[in-house]
Amino acid sequence: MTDEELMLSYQEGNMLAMDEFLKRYKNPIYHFVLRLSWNHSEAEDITQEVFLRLHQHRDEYRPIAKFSTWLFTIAHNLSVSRLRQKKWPISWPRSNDESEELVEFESPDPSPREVTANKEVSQKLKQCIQGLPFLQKEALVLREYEKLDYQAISKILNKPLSTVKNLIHRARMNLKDKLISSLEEIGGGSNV
Amino acid sequence: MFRSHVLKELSAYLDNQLSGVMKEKVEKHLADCANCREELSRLKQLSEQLKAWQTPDLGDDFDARVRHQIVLGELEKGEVKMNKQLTSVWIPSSALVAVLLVVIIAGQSYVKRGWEGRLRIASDDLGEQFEPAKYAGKGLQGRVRNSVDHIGNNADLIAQKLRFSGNQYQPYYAESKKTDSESVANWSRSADTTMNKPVSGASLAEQPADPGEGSVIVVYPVLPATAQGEKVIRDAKIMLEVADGKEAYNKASAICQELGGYLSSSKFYKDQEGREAGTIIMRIPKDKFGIAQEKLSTLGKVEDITTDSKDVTQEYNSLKIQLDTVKVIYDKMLEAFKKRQVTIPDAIRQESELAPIRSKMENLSNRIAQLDNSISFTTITLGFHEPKVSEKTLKESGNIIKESMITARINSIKFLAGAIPTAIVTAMLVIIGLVVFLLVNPLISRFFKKK
Repeated sequence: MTDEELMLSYQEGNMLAMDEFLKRYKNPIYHFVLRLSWNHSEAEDITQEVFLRLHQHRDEYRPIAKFSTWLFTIAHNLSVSRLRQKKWPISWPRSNDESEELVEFESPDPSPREVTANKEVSQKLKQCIQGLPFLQKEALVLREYEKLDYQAISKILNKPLSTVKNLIHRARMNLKDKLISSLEEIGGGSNV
Repeated sequence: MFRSHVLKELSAYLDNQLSGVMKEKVEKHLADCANCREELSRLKQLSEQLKAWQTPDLGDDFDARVRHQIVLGELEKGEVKMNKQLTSVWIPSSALVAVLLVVIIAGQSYVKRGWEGRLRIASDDLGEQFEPAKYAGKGLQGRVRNSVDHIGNNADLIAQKLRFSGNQYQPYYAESKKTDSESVANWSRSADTTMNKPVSGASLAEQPADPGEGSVIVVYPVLPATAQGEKVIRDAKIMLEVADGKEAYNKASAICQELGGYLSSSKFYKDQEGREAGTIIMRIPKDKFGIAQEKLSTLGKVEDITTDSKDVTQEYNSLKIQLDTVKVIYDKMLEAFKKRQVTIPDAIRQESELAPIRSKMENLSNRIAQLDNSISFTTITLGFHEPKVSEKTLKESGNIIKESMITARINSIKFLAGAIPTAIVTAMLVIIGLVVFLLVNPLISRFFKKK
């Protein structure tokens, strides 16, 4: 069953649909907000709020919009709202304030040296992403991690398609420059 | 093909977000431009590096927390909804109850003053049928009419309530004002628009609805002076001086049992002087209240007897009316809910809406049951004690004195029995000494004279 069909059945009172929505979207929404906020409890709180709003405003959903877009739009609005309330750190946290539990690596059985190197790279990467302007960061995260197309990102951010294209491009350019200089500082070398 | 570099399009190209024509142009440019190919390669590498940043998934309990929040939200919403729904129901219902209470209180004051009694007696004397409607528009009735006019549409609800408490009041209908009586007819078939015609509860139920120009209830108090069906809580306190505390306790318990009552609580004790005393609280059927007092009074000397009664008719009927009203509301809501499509949140909401009404019904039922119990069983508190110097104590004291005297005599005899032989022996020794002295003395005197 597609998201949209599921949502229609939810509108008709099928409470089991919520279980399916949670199964499909709780982690994507959570990851998205976590990458923006860099705060576990905030991300969890917003994710919960997203699903509560999904329930509260279920009757307002129309199948003309893609369900995932609608859901990410809610998450985006909540994130912007929290950011405006200055609940999130504006500047990048110092390295000793960072939560290590948020970083995981794909590399299986890495050596201690690799772990250290990966940690450093990952921290630099996060630092660089965090240093991006909010909209660039948001657009990049939606594209790189959530694999949303530009059209969907355009609807979520409520920006024209060309703006989204520019945001993602500039985000990558900024990130590339920052990452090169950062990795050069580490001395690990980079091909970027 | 682009003449200049396509750096700005590379991101979109990498993401496969370019349109067909644009994509073709970029591909052609990339085939000839090493710089742009290198830039694309760097972007790909960057994209690969970004994948390294992974975040943990949410905990297993997240789903449960979301569901819990949804249910809480629904319950809150349900309460608000219920409040809105009930506002339309409770306000008129409360108004009805309030009006009825006013009617009851005012009616009772009339009865107390013998208003109706005097009218009835007077009409009986004249051989006429008592027609309270003759007095419409005056005093109580006028006030009732004014009150009821405001709630004309709910006329037969009042009729139902009045029928419920029919042992006190009989409703009469008087044609007075045009009202929307459709709802009235739906509610009940008890409307009777005949002016000045007394209608009993039974006949109300039998007569078909005839809204006509609209019916408004005017209520006349017709409570007989004897107040049949009165709800009175009676109790008595009896203080007795009894000869034997234990015996009185046993007899009182037996009387209670004999009259079909039961002991609510009892206490039996001896004071510092050894007198027996106690208190028994017994519940006696109301029709045996007088007999019980008489029988208990025979158990000893009555020191004090107090009886008290509390008329709870008004409270009782008020509670019954409230209960009836709440039941009507509950049934209506239940009926409405049954017609709805039931989903899990709906069921939760319905339950939350019905729960407080059910609770109210239970509270009212419990209070009515308490009153029923207090009315049907009177309470007699019997206190008893032995006199300050009881016969038994006197008797016991006499016995003790007698026993002491006997013991003293026995002891004196015993003493004498032990002392007499000693005295005899002593006396004999004295006598022997004297005899010896008398015999020896002349001989000694002669001996000294010779010398």
